[in-house]
Amino acid sequence: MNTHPHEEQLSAYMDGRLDTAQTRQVARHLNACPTCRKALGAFQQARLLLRGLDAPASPGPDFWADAYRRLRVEGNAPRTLRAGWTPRRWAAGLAAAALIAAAVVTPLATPGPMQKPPSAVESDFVDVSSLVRAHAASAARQPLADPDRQTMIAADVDDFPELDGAAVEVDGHASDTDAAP
Amino acid sequence: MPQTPTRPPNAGLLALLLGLGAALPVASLPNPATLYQRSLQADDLYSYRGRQITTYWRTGRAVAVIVSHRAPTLRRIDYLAPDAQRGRCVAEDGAQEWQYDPRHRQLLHRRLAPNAEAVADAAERYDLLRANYVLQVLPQSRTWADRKVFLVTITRRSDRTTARRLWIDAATGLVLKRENYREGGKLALTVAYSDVSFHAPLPRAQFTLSALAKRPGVKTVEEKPSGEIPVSLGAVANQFGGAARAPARLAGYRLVSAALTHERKTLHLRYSDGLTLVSLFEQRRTQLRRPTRVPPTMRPTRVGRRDGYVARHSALTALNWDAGPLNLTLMGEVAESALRGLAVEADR
Repeated sequence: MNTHPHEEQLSAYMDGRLDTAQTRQVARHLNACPTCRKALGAFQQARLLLRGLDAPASPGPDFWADAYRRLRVEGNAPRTLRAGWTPRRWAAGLAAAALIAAAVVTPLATPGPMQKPPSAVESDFVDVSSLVRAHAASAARQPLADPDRQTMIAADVDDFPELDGAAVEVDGHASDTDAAP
Repeated sequence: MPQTPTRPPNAGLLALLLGLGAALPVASLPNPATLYQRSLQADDLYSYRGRQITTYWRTGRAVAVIVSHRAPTLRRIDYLAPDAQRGRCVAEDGAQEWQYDPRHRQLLHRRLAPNAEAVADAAERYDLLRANYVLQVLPQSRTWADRKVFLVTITRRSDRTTARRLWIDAATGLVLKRENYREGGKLALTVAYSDVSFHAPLPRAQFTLSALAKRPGVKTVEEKPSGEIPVSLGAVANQFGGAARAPARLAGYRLVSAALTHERKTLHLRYSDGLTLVSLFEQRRTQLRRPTRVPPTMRPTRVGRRDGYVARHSALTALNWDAGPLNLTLMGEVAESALRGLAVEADR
């Protein structure tokens, strides 16, 4: 292989998706070409980093039992809880109820073609989250700013839809500049 | 690659952070203006990767991230702790930004608006900073994260309390540690690198997360660009048919830049005291007969003599109120009482 392999080929080589002849060709080229070796190294590094971004695994075997326990502890279990309703059956029941609720509620809650969700400037509604993002983006560009913290503020804003003090405390981003003791 | 902690930072970690600094013998000191200038240029000139910990002292909570920066504009933040945020990632390649949330397997993508800030006027900003604060380089050379640093204190002229302390890397000008203090001089938060490397490999591919969009199960959300249009300071008062409010000063803050956003329907005025930015957002009201609606959990409050709302997000405080044909939102990382004072001035 005299020409450099494309990025797709390098990626496929890394994944083992090339056939034997192509794999040999790319390997031979890599042996002789420091530029492509460097590119491959960058790919591998990026992949390693992306691997760390995987979502947490699905709920473990204790998940439903724990959820069931919480239902009881928090006093939310139905009063008519009958013998024979095991955690597994409760889970199935809850899932079915959620599906029914979703089927009924979703069409009502989802905006139709004429019902756009309110934006920062839609009609007479102010979406403060959108303004927080705009402010944080500007603040990050100021001299002596903390660009990373501002980026974190902007990225986290959707986790704080309530935008009130209680929500802030729960998630551990206290209003540290607040004058309260 | 630094070791990633498996638990949120705790008292031990904080103690370790505090222990990283140690005084060294006195060395020749640069003047504050030089250090200021160098710290502004650090990200343009140097690439680095480091573990950074932000500690909110009021609650004792901390957020740990890995910051990767490739000069001048590529940046990536990987969340390590707390556990609820572990695996989150924000990457920026200068023109686009991706935010990946592994809990929801959601990738938010947006195109970045061109920088409308006039940050080039560093000398002017420095004058503004000096008008409100006193800068001092402490007469002691120190180390932080195994690097020689200069410690700069920034003190408010108004009440002579500390506003910031910055540990500035002697070789590069990068701020390796900063402490932000509330009005009254109480420590609010610390942002510090526990380790930093200027020789880490930083391949360009790290700074784009577009590959994630092709992964099965990952939902990609395209954020509508804000369409920010810079407005010259001289033209601010003409916006909204001349109805815009555009005070050149709010107490010690000066109007430093302005832009129209959200399809030209929001005017974003940025006020700075040289250190802290306060944003005033103005929107034209479409329903003058009834109050503008806000997110339902904003708390009702008074803004001067008007009814309004207050909300907090992270260290930000936001005030919102109707003022004639306009709806105004003022926000910044300042005490609520100070923000109220600025709001009353903005409403005059």
